[in-house]
Amino acid sequence: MLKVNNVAVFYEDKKALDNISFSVGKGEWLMLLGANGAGKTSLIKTLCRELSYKGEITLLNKDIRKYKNKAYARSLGVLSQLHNNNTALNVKEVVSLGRYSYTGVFAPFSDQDTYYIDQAIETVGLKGYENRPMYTLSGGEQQRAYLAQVFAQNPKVLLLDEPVNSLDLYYTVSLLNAVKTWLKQGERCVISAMHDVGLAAKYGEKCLLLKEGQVSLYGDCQEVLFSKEINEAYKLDVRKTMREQAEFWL
Amino acid sequence: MEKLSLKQHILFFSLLTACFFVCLCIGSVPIALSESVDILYKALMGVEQSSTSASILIFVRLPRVTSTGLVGASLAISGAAMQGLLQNPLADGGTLGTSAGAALGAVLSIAFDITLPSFALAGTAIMAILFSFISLIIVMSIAYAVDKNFTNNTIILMGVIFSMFAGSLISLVMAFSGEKLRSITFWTMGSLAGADFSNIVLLLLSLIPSSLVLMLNAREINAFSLGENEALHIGVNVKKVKIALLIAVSCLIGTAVSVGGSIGFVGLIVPHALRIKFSGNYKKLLPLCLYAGAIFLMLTDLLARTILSPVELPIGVVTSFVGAIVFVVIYAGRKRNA
Repeated sequence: MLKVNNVAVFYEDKKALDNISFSVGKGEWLMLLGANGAGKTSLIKTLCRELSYKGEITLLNKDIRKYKNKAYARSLGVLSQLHNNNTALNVKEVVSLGRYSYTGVFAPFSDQDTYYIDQAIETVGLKGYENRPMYTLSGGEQQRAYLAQVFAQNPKVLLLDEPVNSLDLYYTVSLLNAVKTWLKQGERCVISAMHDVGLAAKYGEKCLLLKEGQVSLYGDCQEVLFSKEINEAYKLDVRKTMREQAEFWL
Repeated sequence: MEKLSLKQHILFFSLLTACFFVCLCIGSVPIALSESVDILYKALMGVEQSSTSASILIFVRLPRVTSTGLVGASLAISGAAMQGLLQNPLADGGTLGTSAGAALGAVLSIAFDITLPSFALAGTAIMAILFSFISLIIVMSIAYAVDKNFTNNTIILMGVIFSMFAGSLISLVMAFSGEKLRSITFWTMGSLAGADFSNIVLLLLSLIPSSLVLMLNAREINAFSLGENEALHIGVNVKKVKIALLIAVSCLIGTAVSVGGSIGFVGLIVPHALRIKFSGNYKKLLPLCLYAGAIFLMLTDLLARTILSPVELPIGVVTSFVGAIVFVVIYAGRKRNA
């Protein structure tokens, strides 16, 4: 569905990404891995068209530069890591904005729009919270509201930029499970930048390991997570470290 | 997203009308309500009236109160829009330096006779609008250059500094062309005294299209209130909408300032109070700002001209007094640093 070919990105006078190539197919969850500063966020920003790039990126066989704003939003959605708190909107209003690319100024929400909005709110477990202002919600609840917004947007590709970094275990699991279920329900794919390699192993099919802006390794999760490249990227024996951490639970 | 219901529109319009008549009737020369209505009716019917009350009502109070209402509406709706666009509850014409820039533009226009040949007032307003827009761009650019994160505090700081800078330039121009210009108090503290019918026309020409632009982009402003990147991700044409909003806001503030001088805090107090009481959804907030802004400023002007009667306080004194307190309350109530 999404193909990236030989992409280079410049950001503030330095080369943030170089020679990046990969693709994501239907039903796949690609995990972006790499140390801090390796380029994961730059790649996500490039895919959302926040940064300009050299090379080829196509979504559904069309160059992403050729998509119009609303059309692109219908095809690709993003869940960022942090959100500002200066909004006075309530949960339903935030989720409804996910349908922006499907509606116009004078067109009220159609039944389909309402369906997607209500369905999204229910999927993330925020039913009953519709009229609560966003700033009254906890961090985890807010993140779920933004996830509902992107579900309502109903894109083909979902980008997640370290979405569970500030969430507790409960919210982490419920959010990622919700995404997994969503992924399996249609012609969709997910790309997420993850810090936690344990979560990457559990939820991902493919992994893209970045090191200093370049692709260090790209392949199935099994292959990448047990490789020597990932040990080099994180500067420790990943498999051994994860096993030691898991010992307590066995 | 829901809009204001018809019932709500009717309620607010009635409040507005009531307030309008209260302001018409009360003043240094009190005119009874029945008399006011009678005078207005006769005026509409084209009947000549010679009583002092009629003259005062028709030629002094009516244009003044109407202009005040229109200025209040302009300032309130533009303040609300700026707060949404910049995700900053402290943003408004005053804090962003836009009012001061507009005042500078107006002052330069009058001092150097840069106007349209037949419609002098419009020339001043156009210069004010132009300078208002340029000020916005300058303040935003400097804030971004100084602070790549473009935090709220930076932009307000740059706005306040720019206001002082513009203020000093105004004083400089006045030093050379003082006689042509209204007093410095007019430009820094505002006044609606002496407003006439041409002011009303000018204000309407600015308010109607600009507020329409803002209200037609209410969903986009809602999106912006979540963040510029968030707005981009849901499909908003960020660049186009931002420019449209900035132009509309500049028109509103530029015209308001050229008619009434720099009146601070209206764009802060009114939207903030409305958000708490009613809704932060711009589909409702923007039209509410029009009503409430008009009511607020009309009442403030009433206070300014009656509280120390026969002395008239500059209207900015009253709005600053109330506004400074409200500003601190808003600042203290923010959830986190942004």
